[in-house]
Amino acid sequence: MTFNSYKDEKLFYHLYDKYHKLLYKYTYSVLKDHNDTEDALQISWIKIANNLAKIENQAERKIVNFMITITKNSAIDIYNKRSNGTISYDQNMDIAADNGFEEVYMSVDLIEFIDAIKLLNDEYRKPLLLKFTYGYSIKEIAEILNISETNVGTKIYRAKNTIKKIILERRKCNG
Amino acid sequence: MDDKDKKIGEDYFDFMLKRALDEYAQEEGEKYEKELKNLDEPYYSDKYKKEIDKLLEDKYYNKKTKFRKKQIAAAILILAVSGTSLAYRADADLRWFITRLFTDKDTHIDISQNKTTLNYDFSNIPEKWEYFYVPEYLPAGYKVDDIMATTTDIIIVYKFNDNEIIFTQGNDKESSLSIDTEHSNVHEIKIGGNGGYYLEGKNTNTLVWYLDNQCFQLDGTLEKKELKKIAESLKIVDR
Repeated sequence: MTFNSYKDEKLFYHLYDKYHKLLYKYTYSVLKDHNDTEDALQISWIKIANNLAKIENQAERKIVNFMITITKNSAIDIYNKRSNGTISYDQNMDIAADNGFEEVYMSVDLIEFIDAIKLLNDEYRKPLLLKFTYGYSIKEIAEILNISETNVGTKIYRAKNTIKKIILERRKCNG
Repeated sequence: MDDKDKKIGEDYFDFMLKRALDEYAQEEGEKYEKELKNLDEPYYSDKYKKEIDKLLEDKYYNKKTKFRKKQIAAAILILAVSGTSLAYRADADLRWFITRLFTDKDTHIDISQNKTTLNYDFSNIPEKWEYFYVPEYLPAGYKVDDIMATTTDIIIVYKFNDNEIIFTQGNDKESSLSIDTEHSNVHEIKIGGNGGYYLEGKNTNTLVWYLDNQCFQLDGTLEKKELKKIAESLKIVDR
């Protein structure tokens, strides 16, 4: 599969030249092994190259965030395969029922949202970003994150409910 | 809250969620950019470097191969056999001499009737360029997508949906137009009386020709007839 356009090719070279150190850093921070890091980086760069057409029109900072998302995911995949374990996320993600959030609707402040997103576990934030910021479908997200489509749907559902829950709880605390 | 209000509420929630995620992505991107400044260059193994090179090679949009000695030898062979061909990578003076020998004195090409009006931004073209060329004819729908310029080359990319036409012009013997001859059928061609070559590739067709001490290249998925029409519609743009 080739780049879709000369613009994509130019963009890839630019991203690789400028950010390869950053991707190395985040990959190594998960894997703590140079050889595994290189393996994960190869996968990351292939995924980034394959998705350039989708993200090329985003602001560069958002593209960087996308690349780090992909990179961390590749690193975690390799870690899980090699160690037969799973990187444990903060598991405080109760399945909140999808009701009782009426007061959140129509009265949400952008800052409240951003703060809640920051508190989300990375595992749940990634599919949200891929869907809402980068415009990927559930199927595409499943391929990128190497999980099932059902899993993607579940994570997005849980993530949204958790954001609502965080906003409500903060409002209660703030009176 | 009735179902209709709840639906509106959920739609608004998604709308705000998207805005917040965009802001979050920007903030995080800014944070990563700041981190970049303090990072050391990692050490990569030769194996890794080869893999990345291979990835780039496999993904090249326009597989480019600079003329190497064997290709110069092939070009000279064509010259020897046909007696009328031009060498691609000959010295600029020899190129100019050969161009003068085989072309009409009047090297300004007739303008095609099908003129296009496009928005060009030439602000980033270096001042060294006293003039340059743009095609007056383009197939319907194509618009200017990008202009890249150095002191020796100008590349204009035209786009229509997923199709691109890349027009390159070089003004110096240091300028090197590069073409893929490995997977192409090569044919001689005349562009408004000037000698050139048409390369029919697997995914991309290429036209290369000389005019007034400058070399030109057109790459695209268009057929020879259309590429030739574009090439023959060049007009000068004075600074």
